[in-house]
Amino acid sequence: MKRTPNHHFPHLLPRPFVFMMSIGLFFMSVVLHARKWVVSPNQSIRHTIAGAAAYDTILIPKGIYRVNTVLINKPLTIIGQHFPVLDGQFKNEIFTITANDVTIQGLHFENVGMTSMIDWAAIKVLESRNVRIIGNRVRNSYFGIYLSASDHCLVQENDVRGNPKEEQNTGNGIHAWKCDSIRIENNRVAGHRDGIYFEFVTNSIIQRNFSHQNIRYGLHFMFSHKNGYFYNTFRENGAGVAVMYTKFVTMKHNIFEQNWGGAAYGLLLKDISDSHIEQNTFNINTIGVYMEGCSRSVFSHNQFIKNGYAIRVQANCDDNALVYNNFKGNTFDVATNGNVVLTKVAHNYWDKYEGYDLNRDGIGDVPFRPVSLYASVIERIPQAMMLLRSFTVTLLDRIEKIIPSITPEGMKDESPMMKPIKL
Amino acid sequence: MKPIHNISRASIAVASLALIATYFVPLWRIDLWAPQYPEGLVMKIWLSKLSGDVEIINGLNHYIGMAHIKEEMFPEFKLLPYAVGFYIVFGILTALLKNRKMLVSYFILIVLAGVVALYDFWKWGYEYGHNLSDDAPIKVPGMAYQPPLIGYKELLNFGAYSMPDVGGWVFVALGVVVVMVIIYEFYFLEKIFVKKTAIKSAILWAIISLGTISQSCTQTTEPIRYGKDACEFCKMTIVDKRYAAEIVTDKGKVFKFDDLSCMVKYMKANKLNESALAFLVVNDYSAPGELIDVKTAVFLSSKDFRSPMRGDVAAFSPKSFATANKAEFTQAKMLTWKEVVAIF
Repeated sequence: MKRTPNHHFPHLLPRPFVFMMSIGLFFMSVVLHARKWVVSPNQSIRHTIAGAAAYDTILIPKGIYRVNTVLINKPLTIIGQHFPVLDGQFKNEIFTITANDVTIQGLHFENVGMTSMIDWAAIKVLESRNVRIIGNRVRNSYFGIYLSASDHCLVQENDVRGNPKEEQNTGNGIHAWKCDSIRIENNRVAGHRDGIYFEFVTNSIIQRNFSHQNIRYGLHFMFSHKNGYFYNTFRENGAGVAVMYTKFVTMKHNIFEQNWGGAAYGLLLKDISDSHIEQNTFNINTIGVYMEGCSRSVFSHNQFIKNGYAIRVQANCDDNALVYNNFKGNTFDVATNGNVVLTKVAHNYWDKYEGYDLNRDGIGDVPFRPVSLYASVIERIPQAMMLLRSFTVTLLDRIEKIIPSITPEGMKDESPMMKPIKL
Repeated sequence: MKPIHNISRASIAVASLALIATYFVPLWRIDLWAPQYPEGLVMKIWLSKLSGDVEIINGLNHYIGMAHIKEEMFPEFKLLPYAVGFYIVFGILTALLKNRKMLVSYFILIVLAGVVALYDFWKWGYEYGHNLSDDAPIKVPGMAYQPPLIGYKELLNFGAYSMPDVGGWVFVALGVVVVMVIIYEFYFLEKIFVKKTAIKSAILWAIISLGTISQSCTQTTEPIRYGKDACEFCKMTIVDKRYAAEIVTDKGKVFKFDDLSCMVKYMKANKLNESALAFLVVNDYSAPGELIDVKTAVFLSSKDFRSPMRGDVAAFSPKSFATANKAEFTQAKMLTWKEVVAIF
């Protein structure tokens, strides 16, 4: 074991400045005494950790290390050089962190075991604060990165890839349970049950992640209020994103694409309220957005392109607004199972709109009804899907446009835009 | 006059005694199906009462101005139990007295009863469907909502089916038995003795069919396609083989759930009566993917389960429960199916 004095002031400062001030001098003295340790090939990582003091740095050189259940119970910075491989050999988990101010960076984790009782993960964080997991690789793990009852943590630039062969037996890529103020950003997640999973998480941000080819959802929210997710891409997941039993969620600038399958959707909103869905792109999904029990939420400046259904609204949704969105090339723009839909629909661009604009203010002079007769028919008789794009259906839709009778009366855009909205 | 044969007497006795069942099972059922009620609405008519989704149907009918369906509207309910009693007694007497005249009168009475009952039912349906209130919120000119007498009819966006229920079929079976006995006694017996056995077995079949009528069409559970099927209640894709559950209704419809709590909540939200369901099955926690009947299952509740919708209740078959390591689960509590229904 080599011991080198640390000449550098650590670049990782605890995030809340006030917190740092409060522990003042004591903290500064700890930092000044921090040491750097390098794990040598014949020494175990566990041993090095045991020998290190709080706020020391441990460097792990390139190599293969067979380890599991390494407990990190003091503030440490653990950095891998050229991605050393930590192989869990399918027994138990690899890192269990129970201390504040831990940083894990540049490691390659693989082969985490699976049990039915415990959610084993490559990196598990328990009841800690300010833990930073940066730039690691995780392969073949039951759960990838698992945060439990922790706050102010950062999960950044990790690449988590599960093994899709064992479909139903895989856990979530990045899993957060009962956390507060965490950030999940610039990660890539694939081949897990849910790419990113939030349960009882608050005041957190998920941004610029790429979540694809997961078994169930790219991103899954349950009972997690006041969170936001921005600039993420969700592609080819079982279904894109599910936001369930949650309030005050902001979803902006995300891309939901290629979620195909019998009941697949880009975005599932189930029992959601007071949320904002803005400037997202829903591209080539069976159903772009599926809403059930959704209230007081705003959809604005979204692009709905080439979906089977752009939006499916269940009749138990109320007080939602659909404004300034673009609808292009969808088979059905809006479908609903009820007759009364209490949703504000205005100022959207619909490529199926065939009205005119005599006063040239850019707004069509006749309203547009986004629920087609045929969509209503299919809602009642699913087998009628056979007749898609047939002459009869076109004819029926034309008649319905002139004499509306079956489509919901309340569901219309009184001010459809003549040209696509620039976003 | 020649007395009637023993086989005929026995058949008549059994068939008329079977009428006793009609006090305990519904006679007739009217099913309504519409997109907003995917599981359908049903109204069952008994000898002396109505059951099923009568209140929901009344609520719907209010919109088109139909009268409120109340049991007091039907004087038949006071009369019917006695009328059926009379038929039972008459049948037994026919069997005891071996009198051919009696047999013929019994036959005529039954035919009369059938005709009167159907006419009464039709007349009620006609008045009910035509006599609409003027201040109904929804009025469709020229539209009448008379339910079908027997079979299927479309009423606005509802499809309505009307058909005999178990009790009704018991009556039908009684009619069939009496007709066969008459044929046997008056026609075949004198002329074609060869066919005697054939008729005998036909009568026997009619009696046996009485017993099997209650077991209507066969329903089966359907395997859950993990990773593909979505939960009927929370819409999540079902992936966990330890907590999934399934309902099969008496109409053979299958609903799948990712969590026991979803199944119970779905049953409550849709007012599904357990007795109207053919199967209620749930995964055995110790044998993932295997479905077991909730009635024989043992349930454990513990925060350690972490089921998909946080119902946190797992089911075990009695056998797997015996071998399961209960100490693994903190604060585990044993529950019965009734308690599981109560907590969600």
